[in-house]
Amino acid sequence: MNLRIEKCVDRLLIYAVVVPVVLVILFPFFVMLCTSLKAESEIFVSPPAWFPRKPVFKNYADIWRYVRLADYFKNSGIYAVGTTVLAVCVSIPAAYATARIRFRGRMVFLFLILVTQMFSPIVVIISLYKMMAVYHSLNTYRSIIVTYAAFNQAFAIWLLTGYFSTIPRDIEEAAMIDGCSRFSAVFRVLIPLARPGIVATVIFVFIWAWNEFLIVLTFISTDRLWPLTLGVYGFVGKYRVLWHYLMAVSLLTTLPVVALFLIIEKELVSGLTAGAIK
Amino acid sequence: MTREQRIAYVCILPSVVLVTAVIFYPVIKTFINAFYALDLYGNMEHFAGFENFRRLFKEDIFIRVLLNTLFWTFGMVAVTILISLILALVLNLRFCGRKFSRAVLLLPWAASLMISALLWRWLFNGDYGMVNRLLRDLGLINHTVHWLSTPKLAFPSMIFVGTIVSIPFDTITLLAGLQSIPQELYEASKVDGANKATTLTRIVLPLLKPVFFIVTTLEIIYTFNSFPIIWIMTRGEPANQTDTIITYLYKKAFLYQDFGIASALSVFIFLFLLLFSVIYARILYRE
Repeated sequence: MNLRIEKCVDRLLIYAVVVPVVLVILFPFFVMLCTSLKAESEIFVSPPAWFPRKPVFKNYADIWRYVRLADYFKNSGIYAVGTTVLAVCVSIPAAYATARIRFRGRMVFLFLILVTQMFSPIVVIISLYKMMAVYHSLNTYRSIIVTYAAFNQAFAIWLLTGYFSTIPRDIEEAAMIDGCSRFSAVFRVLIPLARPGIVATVIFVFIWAWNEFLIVLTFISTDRLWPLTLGVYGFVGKYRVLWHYLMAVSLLTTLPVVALFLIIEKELVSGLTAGAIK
Repeated sequence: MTREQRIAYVCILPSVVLVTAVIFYPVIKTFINAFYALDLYGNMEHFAGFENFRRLFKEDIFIRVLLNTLFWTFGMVAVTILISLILALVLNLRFCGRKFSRAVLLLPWAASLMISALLWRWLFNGDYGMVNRLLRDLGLINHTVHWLSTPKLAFPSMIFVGTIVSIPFDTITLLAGLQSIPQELYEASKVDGANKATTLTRIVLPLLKPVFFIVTTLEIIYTFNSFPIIWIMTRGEPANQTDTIITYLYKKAFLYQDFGIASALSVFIFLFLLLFSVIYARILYRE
């Protein structure tokens, strides 16, 4: 009997913690959805109504004409894919070297890489902006992709080194004894085995680049090259903020990432534990 | 140098070049600039010693900005870590709806900071925002609260938003740490007659300590560096009352084009971050 009461109290305590947090997290997304379906006349009404009088799905069609939404999607895609490809191609060999070879300066390299993780772009943004101006790279895709890839090196190398170290080196050595070159041993044996780690890295870098704000705000001023983050931010600068459109665009921007997150929830957690914690 | 070593250097070369060009070189350049007088375009005019720093410290608002930064960073981290720890402990238990709550927890992480900030700016709107409507429906307020245009309220409101967006990463990392504690330890302590509180304070928390330290340090750094929330919700206004050192730096550089003071501020921020990187690295290598 006593045990049953204790169990009941435990349950109550659990839900007393979880339910408020879940509600606070869901509340803004609920309002986002409701606002995105309101008519313009319902936006500036005080006090605001919880639900739209009649859901205006047309908002989701109108936003493509109201802002260059297709361009923003395309640009976000270019920045995120470009960054991911560059960051991963550069960090895989570096992670391979640090995980497999005891070279002189290895610790220095790892320390310097770790230090870069601590420096937010804000510390370098002024000099970097000047550098980009000197090389005529402001308002170009490459300025963003190169900068993003650099700021993701720490994270990518750390995560991949962690993953590569969990794979026994005997497997590659066996392949090399069987006549594989080192290069093909890495490509045919190590990389396929480290797939989960590489996938986690790709996803983290992609999402980071998809959501970045400060660097792109500083380097890109022509709206033809804006990614979604700046496109959404651009609403605020206009004479009157059309919140129903803004919320519709925000929802469309967030959905792909949420979908990605839900699909890879498991890898996300195991990726973090292998790379960042150990 | 052996062949092995040469291969290693070739492998790390692209990464070293990338990081040097984009991060280390600009850091050094900023350091040098901080000691020069700079024109409106950021070009060096002449050596100025500590002039930029002197001008910075003479600004009336600077102390306010520093205090804001401390309040923002340590206030938010304390609240976030406490909530995340409790949440992680709870989510580590079995209960109905656990999978659902874990999925919900990922939402603020997936939405970009700037979208969360914009969304909350709309929610906190005095006349048309849903926060006031909700509080009024619950009977907690009976007049319109202007959350973001009152400096005393704007800061706590933004800390609230910052907390919500930081909880997912912290909780999930702490949860991963909890799950790496071997199940046998729980059973052993049960066999030895320990109650839940003792198990928590004597076994779980000590074993979680390394992860806890790492999460806290990372969180301090992320929060300190945070830009979009303040920039989008208040822009540091009214009258710089809600600026942190980060948004203040951005304004100095790209709004007022005072690159001298901005560079001096960068050096300041750099030193703070360096201090924390060293602490972080020491914790990481000790484990």
